[in-house]
Amino acid sequence: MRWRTRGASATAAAGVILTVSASLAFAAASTGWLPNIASRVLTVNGCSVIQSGFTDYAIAAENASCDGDIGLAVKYKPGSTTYTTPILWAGSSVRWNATNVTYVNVYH
Amino acid sequence: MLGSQRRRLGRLVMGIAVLTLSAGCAEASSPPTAATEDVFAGALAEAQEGGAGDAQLAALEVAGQEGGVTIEAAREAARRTVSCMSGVGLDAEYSENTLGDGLVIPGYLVASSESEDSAEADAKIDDCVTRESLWLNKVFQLQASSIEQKEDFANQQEPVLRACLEGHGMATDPDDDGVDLANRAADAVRDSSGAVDCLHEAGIDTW
Repeated sequence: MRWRTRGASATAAAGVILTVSASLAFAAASTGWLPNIASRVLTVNGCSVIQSGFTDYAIAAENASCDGDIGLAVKYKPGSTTYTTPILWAGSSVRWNATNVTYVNVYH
Repeated sequence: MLGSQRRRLGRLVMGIAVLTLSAGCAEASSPPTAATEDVFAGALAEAQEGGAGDAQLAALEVAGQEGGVTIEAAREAARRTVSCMSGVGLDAEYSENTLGDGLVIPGYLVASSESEDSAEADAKIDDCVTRESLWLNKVFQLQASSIEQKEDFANQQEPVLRACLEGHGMATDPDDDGVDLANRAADAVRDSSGAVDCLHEAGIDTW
C-alpha cells in the first residue's frame, strides 16, 4: 500500500519490548506482519491495542478508547500453503478464526 | 441503549460511520447534511492521497452520492483486487467472508508457498488492495447498515452474552440489552487479553 512508514512499538505480555516497522496511510496505520502470539500490547497510530491469539484465532482489541477504527488481517497455514486474508474492520474488537494463524497485521 | 451503545460503536458512527446516521436522512429525501458530505469527502480525499485507483475513487464517489457502499460495489472492488493480484503473479481468488451476524464481506484469499518471497508478495498484495478496495471495503464494513446488522444480532444474542458474562463472574444489569452486553464483552476481551471472549461465544466476530 502507499503507506508512509511510521514507527510503532509492541510490548509482549511478559514485558519484552519489540520494535516493529509500521506503515501509515492518512487515517490508518498498520503494524506490518507480526507473529501471532498469545498476548501483547501494540501501539498503532497512537492507539494502544491488545493483540492476542492462539493457533486457531487472532484478536485485536483497542486497549483504550481511541478515535478511529481497528482492522485485522491474518496469515494462516492449514497445510503447506499459507493464505493471506483481507482486513476485517470494527469499532473496538476484531477476531479472525482460522486453522493455524501464523501472522497478524493490525490496523488503526 | 444509546448511551453505552454509541459510546463504542458510536465511534464508528462518528468516524466513517457518521455517514451512517446521515445516510438515513438522505434516504428520507432530506438534503445531504454537511456531516455526510464531510465523511464521504474525507474518505475520498484519503483514498486520493493514499494511492487509490480510478475505479475505487469512482466507487467512493458513487457511495457518497447514494449514502453507502452496496454489496455489489464491494464485490466489484474485491474482484478488481483479485484481478490485480493475479496480474502481478499472485495466486489469488475471490472469497466472501460471512460474519456471525450475517454480514457478507467480499474479499480475497492469496495463497503462497514457502518458496515464495513473502515480502515481495506482501508488497504486491498491499499495492493491489490500496489501488482497488482498501477504503471502499472499510466504508462498507463500517457503514450504517452494517452497524445496524451488528446491533440487531447482538440484541438477538443477548441471552448468550448475559450467560457468558455471568458465567465469568461479571454481574449484568437486567435492563442491559444485547448491545450493552456486547460492549461489556468487548471490555472483557480487552481486559483478559482475549482469554474471556463472550463476543466469540455469541458468534460476534467484529464489534
